[in-house]
Amino acid sequence: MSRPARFHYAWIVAVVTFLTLLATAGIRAMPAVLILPLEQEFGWNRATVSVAVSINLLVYGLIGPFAASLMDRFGLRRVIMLALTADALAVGGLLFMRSLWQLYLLWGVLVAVATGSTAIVLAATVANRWFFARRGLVMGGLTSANAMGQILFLPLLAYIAVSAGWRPVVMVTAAVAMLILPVSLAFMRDSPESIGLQPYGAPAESAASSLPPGEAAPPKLSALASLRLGVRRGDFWLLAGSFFVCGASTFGLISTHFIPASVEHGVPEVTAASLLAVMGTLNIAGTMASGWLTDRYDNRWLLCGYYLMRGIALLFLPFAYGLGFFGLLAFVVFYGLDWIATVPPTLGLSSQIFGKRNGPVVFGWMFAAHQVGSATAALGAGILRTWLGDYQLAFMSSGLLCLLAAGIVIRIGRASRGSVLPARPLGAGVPAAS
Amino acid sequence: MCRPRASRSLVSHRPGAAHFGLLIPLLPLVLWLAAPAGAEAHAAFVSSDPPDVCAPQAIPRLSPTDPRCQTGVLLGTSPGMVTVRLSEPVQLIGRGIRVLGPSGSFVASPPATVDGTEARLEIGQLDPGTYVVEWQVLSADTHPTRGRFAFSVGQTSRPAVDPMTGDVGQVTLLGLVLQTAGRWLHFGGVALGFGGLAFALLTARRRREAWWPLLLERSWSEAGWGASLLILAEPVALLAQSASLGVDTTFDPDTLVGVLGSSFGLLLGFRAGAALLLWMLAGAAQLVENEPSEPKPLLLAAACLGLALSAVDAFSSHAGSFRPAALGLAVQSLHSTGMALWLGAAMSIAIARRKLSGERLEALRSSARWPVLLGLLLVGATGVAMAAVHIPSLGALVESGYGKTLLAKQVLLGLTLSAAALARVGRSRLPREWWSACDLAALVAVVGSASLLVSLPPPR
Repeated sequence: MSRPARFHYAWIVAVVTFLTLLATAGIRAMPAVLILPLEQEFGWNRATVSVAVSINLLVYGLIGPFAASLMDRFGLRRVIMLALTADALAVGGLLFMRSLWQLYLLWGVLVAVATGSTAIVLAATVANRWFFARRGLVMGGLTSANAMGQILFLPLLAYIAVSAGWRPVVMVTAAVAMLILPVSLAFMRDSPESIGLQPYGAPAESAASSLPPGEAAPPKLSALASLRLGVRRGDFWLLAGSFFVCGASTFGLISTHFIPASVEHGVPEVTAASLLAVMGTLNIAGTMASGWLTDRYDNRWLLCGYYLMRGIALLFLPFAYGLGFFGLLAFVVFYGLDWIATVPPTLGLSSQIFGKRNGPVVFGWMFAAHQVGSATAALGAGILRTWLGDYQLAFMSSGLLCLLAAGIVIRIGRASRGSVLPARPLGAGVPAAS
Repeated sequence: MCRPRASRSLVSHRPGAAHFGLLIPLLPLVLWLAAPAGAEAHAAFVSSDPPDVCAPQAIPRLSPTDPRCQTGVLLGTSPGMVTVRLSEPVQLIGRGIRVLGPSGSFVASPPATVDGTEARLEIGQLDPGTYVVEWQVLSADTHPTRGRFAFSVGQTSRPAVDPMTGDVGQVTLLGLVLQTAGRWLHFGGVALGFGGLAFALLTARRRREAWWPLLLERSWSEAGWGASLLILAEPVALLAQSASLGVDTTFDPDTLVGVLGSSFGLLLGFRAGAALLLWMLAGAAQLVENEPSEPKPLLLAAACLGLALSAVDAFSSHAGSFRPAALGLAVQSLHSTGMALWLGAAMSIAIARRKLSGERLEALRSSARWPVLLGLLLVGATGVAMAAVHIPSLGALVESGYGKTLLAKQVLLGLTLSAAALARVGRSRLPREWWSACDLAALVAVVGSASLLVSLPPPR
């Protein structure tokens, strides 16, 4: 393997992608701040506003594979331009909202389509196209933008909402999207080949597609074709199943229900929100570390360890509340560290099994399973809470689901029947220095 | 050939480190689960107000067939409150206490409350007639207990339901049967899941011998089946709890949710978690199968998990009869560990017999000698200790259901040991294999009687 050049354009692309993802995360952080003012101004209730959030979560997930497919056809740059413009218009449109269906259309559908196009599949596509070495690290860094966006934007937006009302919040968010737009226009490039480069760390002797010599490039598949490719392989179901659990145990359960559960156990709301912020910070460290590990160790062992740790943390949570602040802090540390850590190894495995070209699109479908998991758990935990009067059963069952996921991921690589694409060892999983 | 290729491409570069990493998160779980949690034995009825004069513990006590049990004590005025006192702190299940009026409908009242060992229900002014009190609680060791008794205000009338439940061990017969079945599945899962692995771990110093890799492979596949049995036991155990409180409440959603929300729900969660972890370890073992790495870290992880599970099991058994309770937890855990060792070695030999023959089988057998002896020693010593604590007198051994079950278990144990001896000596007309099969069957029956024993309240 040739030593990568001292500076590679791939890093600029990665930074631009990071900024785009940061803006996307900021937009996605809005509902937490907007729910109460919208309820007050329009007289809507929690359930009707939640429906918009749920539609958004689902559409956000389902649009991923199609966005990945569009990026293949029209190029990264155009898709990002289009998505950021749509973001700004849809968010700005909220200013003229008069009735509930407009919220469903603007927030539930348009914003979801636009942010879903520049979310995790964008990170996956950039990491796969521009990087041969250090792919896991890049993926880790890019996905941590999600947490960083929340940490940066939530307090800012909350402050604006409290001091100036919800309309300025909307204006600021739309302005952020418009600010990123020219940056992307100036620096984003579709692929290393389009500016006469190799992906970062690619072997010098390989073809432009960075395939091993003598091996033909697999055909590029559309979103639906890659779904057909995926469902025929057991490994797809194992990965998607574990990612469903991931979504259920993070965004569905903890993001949505951690604060109310903590308040019920006598933890002040501000403390609970701060703990959630600590989780977000640890999450950045955890995701970066996970990306680094993904480049070096068998991704199955990593995923297995992450789900194991998360499962134990969730089983411990009902007791953590009994142990006071330090018990909760222990939970927050364990849980925060592997919040999104599952993303780099899941993408790594997806690329190893489905190939570099189709891996991101198939990964997009796995992310759809992730979002279905989020939506299911957000709703399911609410129902269990209403029925039982506390969250014990919800926390315990999601903890058990995580342990199940740990058992599932360790079985990847043996379940495939009737292989469609030969599995090839790729950059991810190969030490960069070898 | 795509499949082998696929798995090769995913193989770890530094597997050893990853396996050791797996152990780290397990360790706090084990320590935390093993911490004594103040477990107690079954909560027994102590007294009540108005008094239940037909309960086994009542002084003076009426015979259950006495017609006065149908109407209970006759009070001059309405009692205002019903109180049930138990031998240890309890949780209420469902409404906890209900009072059934002469008309057959429940007396309107605020929800029952519990304060340590005392459960109370406020009832307003009652009309004259005979009332039946129904109470149901869960003891700290998660055993359900229920009872029913009558009292009359001003005058007697025909009770709306028979105050004598005809329960066995303070639960319904269906509940007892399901509890036994659930524990049987569970203990079977423990033995199948951890027994073979424990045997492999104890004989790991002979891993260069030809039979050991086969033993290891079979043990991990048994572990997968054991995990399935453990999972299967959970819904049975859940239904056993609800059925114990009344046959008609077996599938009642409110009772089931009440049971899940109690300490039994936590127990169920931990046991299911242990089963899933075992399943995960079995998957991990297959992943490292073709690697020349040490098999020991995964075996050690499984052993820790097995010990943790036996501690959880001890929590739900009669460990609380010991003072201090932590001693009871230790004794109970060692008892089930010994059982798993013994049963695991016996099953491993029975299964290996199909694949091995001659010298190799003999080598396996001889190496099984001391794990089996260790298992027997553990089971014997802890069994005697538990019997000494739970059986207050020799009379209780033949009078109580608990005592009788214990006796039956000893008989089965004797049969098991005889069959094992005959299988080893091989000097009978029947082949050794036949005696081994008998041995295994008797062992399964011993586990069954142990399951019944744990489900019954020990005599006091």
